[in-house]
Amino acid sequence: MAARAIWKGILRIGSLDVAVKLYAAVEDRNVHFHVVQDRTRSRVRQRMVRESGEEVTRENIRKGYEIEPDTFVVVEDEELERMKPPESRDINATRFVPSDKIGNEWYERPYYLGPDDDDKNYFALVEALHKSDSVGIVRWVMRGKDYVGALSAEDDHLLLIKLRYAEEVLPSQDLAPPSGPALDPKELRMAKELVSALGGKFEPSEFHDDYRERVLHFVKAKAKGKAPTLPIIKERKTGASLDDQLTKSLAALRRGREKRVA
Amino acid sequence: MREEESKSRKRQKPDEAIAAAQTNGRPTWSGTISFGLVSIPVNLFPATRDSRIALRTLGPEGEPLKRDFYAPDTGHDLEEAETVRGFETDGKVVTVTEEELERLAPEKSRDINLRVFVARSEISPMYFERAYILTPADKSGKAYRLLAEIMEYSQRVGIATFVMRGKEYLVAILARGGILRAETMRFSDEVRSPSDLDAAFEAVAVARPSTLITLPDGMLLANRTRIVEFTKRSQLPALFPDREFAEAGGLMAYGPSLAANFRGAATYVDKILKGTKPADLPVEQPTKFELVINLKTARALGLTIPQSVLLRADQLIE
Repeated sequence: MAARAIWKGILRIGSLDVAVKLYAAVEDRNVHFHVVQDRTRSRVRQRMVRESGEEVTRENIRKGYEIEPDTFVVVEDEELERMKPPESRDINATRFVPSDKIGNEWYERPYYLGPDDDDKNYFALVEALHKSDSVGIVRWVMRGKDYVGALSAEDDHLLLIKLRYAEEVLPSQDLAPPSGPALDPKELRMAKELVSALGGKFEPSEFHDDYRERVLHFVKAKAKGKAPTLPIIKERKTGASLDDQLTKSLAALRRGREKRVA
Repeated sequence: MREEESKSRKRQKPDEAIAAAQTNGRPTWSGTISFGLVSIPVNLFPATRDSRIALRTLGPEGEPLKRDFYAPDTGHDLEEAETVRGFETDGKVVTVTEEELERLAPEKSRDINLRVFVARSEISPMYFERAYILTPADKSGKAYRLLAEIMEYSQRVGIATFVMRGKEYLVAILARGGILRAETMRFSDEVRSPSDLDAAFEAVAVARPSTLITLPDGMLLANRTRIVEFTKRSQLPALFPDREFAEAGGLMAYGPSLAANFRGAATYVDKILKGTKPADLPVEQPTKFELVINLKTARALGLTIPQSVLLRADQLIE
């Protein structure tokens, strides 16, 4: 892999140990702006100041936690250091669950695991995970932080996705779905037909961040001195009844199909 | 006792539960979800929250400090009105206003138009970025329940793109327990492929070799599908070290059987588990070598494999 590994660890599953390298699986593609001074177009600098505006230099800065408004408990760097979990290279599998048991809201950030001079065990594990169709719940400590992740096999490699902690996810058992009178069977049938007519495959490469492209195009044109004109946003209007909207949608789809046949 | 407690816990409407959980009942986004010509007004709330502990920056006496912007040349403080967003391109700084960014946002920014419905299992969770819960707005309850019911029944997920707070998102709309959820997803160019082999492939294409031989290597084995695809595309006859390549559509493979090696490893582990010291076990050489030929690929390349080689093969893939 041309990409550089960001961490090395040892996957421990029961009595099996697999040395692995961790690679970032996502890339930041956002358009980033700087804060610049309007008059000079130069980037502004930042400093930390007291209420009076007096600057405090970096070496005199401390960190604190606000326990009640305007009351802070100072936390020293050494104290923060001591609170970190002990360093370890272990990625411990705690249990295996069917892959459809993890709700979408738990997934946070993916990493690839590559073999670290231990191809044999690595590919044996890839095969085993494929066969079992289950996901391993693993825990590890990286750069002073605890992580929980979902370990799975995708194609010919291992995928490790960082999961959110329980306190970061809204508990879904507390949520009541909207209620109302029984749904109209005719509308249900039409909606079902509409959804299946719009059925297809998930092709990620078909979707592009058009907005990101447009912003980039706009700033580049502006740099050349051409100020592009911008369109005005229009709102979408709804008024017709649900039954009417479904009937019209299906009619439009059928018309489209007939045209393709003809 | 615990069970009773959880039973007696009152289930709340999503927006109330979110308001209670986050002390802020304002939706992150309001708009419509549409499929066909059906349009459902909804509110979007975060389903996750940050649990990191925020520490404030303090001065030496424990007094809270604030961040201050200043001009690099004069050292003078700058008011917010004196600063603007800047973007560096070709050594020039272009300034962009909030209004310009807003007007670059397309019409669909108020609408999540479900272009396609796909099987939930088709989406790798590595695309998932951030989860939201959707609640019906403007008496849209009926259409909301209809879509939730159909999607849950068919195990399908609607896919769309939309703009929220100045950024375009790829989004999956899912239904679970009668509740519609939105999951923003990474675009395909934000997700890396497992290996950056493309540069190596280019070098091969430039050299125009008449054949390709790959050496035994775990990384190459892991990427066999891509390598085999490449040899097919470039009409390259190729010889591989493991049968897995031929099974993936590679022309031919000759080498020690990985499966036999793994079985050998299992006997090794078994002996160690039964008390043999690993140091006492002999180092074993692979004994089983396999020749696998993919005749389908041979035909596609216009090659005739000599009868003598075919007879030698352990397996022919038709």
